[in-house]
Amino acid sequence: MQYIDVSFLALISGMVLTSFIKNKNFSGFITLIMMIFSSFCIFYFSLDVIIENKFIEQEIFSLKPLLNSSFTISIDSLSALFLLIISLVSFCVSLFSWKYLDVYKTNSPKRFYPFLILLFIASIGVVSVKDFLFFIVFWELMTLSSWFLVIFEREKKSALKGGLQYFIATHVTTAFLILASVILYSYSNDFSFKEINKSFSLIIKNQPYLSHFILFCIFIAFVTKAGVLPFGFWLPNTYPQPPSSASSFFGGVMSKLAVYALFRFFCSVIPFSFHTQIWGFIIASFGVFSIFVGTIAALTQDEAKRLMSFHAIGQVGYMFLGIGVGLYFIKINPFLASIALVGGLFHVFNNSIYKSLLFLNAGSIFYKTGTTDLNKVSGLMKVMPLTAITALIGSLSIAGVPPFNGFISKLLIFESSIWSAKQSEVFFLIRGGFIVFGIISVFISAVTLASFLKFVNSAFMGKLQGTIDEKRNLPWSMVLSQIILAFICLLAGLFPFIPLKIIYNAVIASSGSLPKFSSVFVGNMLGVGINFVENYSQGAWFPIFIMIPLIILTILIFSFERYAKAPKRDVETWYGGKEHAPEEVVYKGHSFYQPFKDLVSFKIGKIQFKGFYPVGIPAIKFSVPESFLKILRVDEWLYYPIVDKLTKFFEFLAQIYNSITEKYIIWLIFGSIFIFILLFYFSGGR
Amino acid sequence: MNPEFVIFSSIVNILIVLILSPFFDGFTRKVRALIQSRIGPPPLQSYYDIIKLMGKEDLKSTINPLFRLSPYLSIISIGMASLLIPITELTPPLNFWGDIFLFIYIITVVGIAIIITASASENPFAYIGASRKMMLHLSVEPILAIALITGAINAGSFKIGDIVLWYYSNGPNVSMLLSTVCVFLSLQALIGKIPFDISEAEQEIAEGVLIELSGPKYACVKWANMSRQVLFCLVFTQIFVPWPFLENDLLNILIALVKVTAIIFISTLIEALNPRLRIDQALKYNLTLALFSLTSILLALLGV
Repeated sequence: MQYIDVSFLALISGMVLTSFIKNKNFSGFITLIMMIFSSFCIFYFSLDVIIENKFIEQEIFSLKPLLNSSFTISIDSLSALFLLIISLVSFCVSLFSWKYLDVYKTNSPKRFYPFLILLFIASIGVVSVKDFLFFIVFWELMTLSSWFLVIFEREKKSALKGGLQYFIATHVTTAFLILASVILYSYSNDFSFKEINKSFSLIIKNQPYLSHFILFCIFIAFVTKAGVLPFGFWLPNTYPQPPSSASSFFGGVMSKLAVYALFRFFCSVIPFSFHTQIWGFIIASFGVFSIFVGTIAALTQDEAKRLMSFHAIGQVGYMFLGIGVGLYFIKINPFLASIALVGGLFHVFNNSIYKSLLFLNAGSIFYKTGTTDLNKVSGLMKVMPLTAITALIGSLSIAGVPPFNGFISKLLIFESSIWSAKQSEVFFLIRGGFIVFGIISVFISAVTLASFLKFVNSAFMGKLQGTIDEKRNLPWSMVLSQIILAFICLLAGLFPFIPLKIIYNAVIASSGSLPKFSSVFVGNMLGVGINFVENYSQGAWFPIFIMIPLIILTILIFSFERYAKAPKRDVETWYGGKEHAPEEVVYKGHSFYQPFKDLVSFKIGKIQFKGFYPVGIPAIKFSVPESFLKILRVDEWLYYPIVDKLTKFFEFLAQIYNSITEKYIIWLIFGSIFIFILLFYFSGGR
Repeated sequence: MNPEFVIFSSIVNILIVLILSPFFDGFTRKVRALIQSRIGPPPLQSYYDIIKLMGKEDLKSTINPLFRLSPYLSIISIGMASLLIPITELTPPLNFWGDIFLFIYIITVVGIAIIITASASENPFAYIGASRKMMLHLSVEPILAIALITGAINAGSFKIGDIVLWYYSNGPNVSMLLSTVCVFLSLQALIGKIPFDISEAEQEIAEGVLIELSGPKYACVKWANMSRQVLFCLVFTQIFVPWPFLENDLLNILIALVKVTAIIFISTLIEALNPRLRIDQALKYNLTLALFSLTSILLALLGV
């Protein structure tokens, strides 16, 4: 427990210190030191909780006489899993931003580091409280501190616009969350999750519509924060705005905390019932909608960070699909449900790693070239090879190519949604729906690959062109943070058993009443197999063993090439026999997949859709009757007439003493007599 | 599953897909020559080509290390994919609970390897080819995925071995027949031959993705393309037309070879008699086919 205290202390002192320091380098260094402390503490602590499957609770203070609510830090395996993610990503983010902030010459670090650390504190708080009131407090703190990061470059118009959209969207939906909490409090008379859980079964029994409304409020609040379309319209405008290290934390952790909250509320706070089953289907369908539209829209983007923001939308859809399938089938087939839930949460873990890695890659491009527009940069592999390799690893991971980490979690999600075909007690069309969801997600993972190959190809491959800052080389700290994340991607893909076990513990801890780990997943350190029904093993997936024939074949072919001893020669690029300067014949990022983009772009009415995503929506115009508008113009019929009358009256009064001395003296005498009488009256004749 | 079987059948699979593929390529060249009333090269010409190219001068247009590595990745990943096809028996050497998705991803890796080679070569023609190759893959991958998922729903398993076993013992039903037809219609796009060789169109973009390759790299990519032909013909014949299967392993191998030869003959006929499609036409064809093949899933759900 003291580890959490130490880390909070380190973070708060870091926040206070950095808000006084103007030097970027020093401020970043202090943040880094504090983050090393706190993320080490949290990492160790959460690992301890997960391995021993503990449940830790400590009350800090209570609002008992006033409200039935108390600030209690209570950590189970689910919270510990997210603490693990937060500690990993926040360490890499602070390591990266230490030198990265040098790019922003005019902006003060006072507007960055304190809010970044506040964001870390808030996200740790969100996962470690089990009280609705303090959950909302930390949730709002997270929104607020991230908003300050969004408007870091206040002079940019797009930053202000994105910040405004973010602010409005999240706060409107937080109002729904507060509404839900108030309704729940009126029934349970306590804000703690445990009491809410008890009273919610009563609400379901007595007032089914109200319980649906509460679920709707919770759903809409978290879905908006996660950026699921159509509620996530703000996300592509907002995430590219802050410095890349902050957007990396946004994409890697903040939007995943919404998934955490959804998981926490639907799987542990609210008891499983027919209602949550219906909402499971709704969550899955919204998830698939945002997978489809978000990722295809990402294909049409030419700006690296905006492209990744669209992918943040698409990837969140995968998690929602997994959680939705799990919620739907938890009563029907607990094996299938646990696989789906584990798939969803495993995807959260993987996604937070590679999404933050990719945002950091975009940040490195920005550091070197000053832009993230894919049409303006190319050939950066030659100046930053390690970034290019890590970007390739991140891209392959996000597309789910084996043996990287995205593969296993996507596999669990695909299979659990397609396996619903075997649940004959479910209605035919719903089964069909789940299968179509599965197929769409298989198809979209190829689209993901396509759009990330576009990113890698146009930014890192090709001739070195565009504006490059020759003097500014990538510092080791920035490269190191990317390498750490890329390494975790590879490791989690090669040894999937360990993260699976951790995540299964988290699922069990939050939702209970699921089959044992050993009956769902079989395997050892090297590989893993799953059972969809009891005792129905289908063989295991051994990523290491897959590598063996690969390595043998590689050695064979390489030795053949060595044996052939082909001579090597450096040549110029061949432009089909013509002589061109390289910049005359560039294939820009914009040109990638043009026919496909044309195929998915269309126009409905006046709205242009690009990759199923509306761009350039014309301003909505509507007219109201003149009389109504007249009422609205209070100035015209109330204020100005009265003011006119009053001015005329005072002008008339002003004429009374029109600079004539005699009149003035008479006024004085009359006035003093009046005051004397007044004083006499008030003193009561004495 | 005993290790002897795994080792034996993996060696057989790799042998058929990688080592025999130049022979099948020689066969297609002979057939094409006969259609065009030429004599054509000897059947072993493709072996000579590869061996000669391995020793030819290696021209480097870039210092990018990926340009050097990824041609080898393409041939290796095809060898990997071949391990997922049942040839000697009804079960492939490599099978686990999600190998239909593994298969889909591995054939994606084949594409990625060639795309990365192309884009690392810094040539604008290669970029055009890479972009087209990715689009073609995007449109054709769902057809194969839907066909395999139809099989998975019917068989109640995500293993290729179980799908083939079910198909072999229960015979074709409507949904499986439909998906078999869909895979056959997309076979030419999977192989990447005319009318779908848009990413390598010689006359238009000067071999597109292959333009900067020479020497051993060119040999690898050429070899990978030959092997890809055999691989996808094997996918069609062994997974979607699994009859007849016998007790004897060697006879099974022989039957597989005969079936593959027949399919390659048909595919060569299509190649020799058709013009190349434009990329937008190809995309429309494939996506329409993919949407149509969704009906096979519905039929499989109904149990027919």
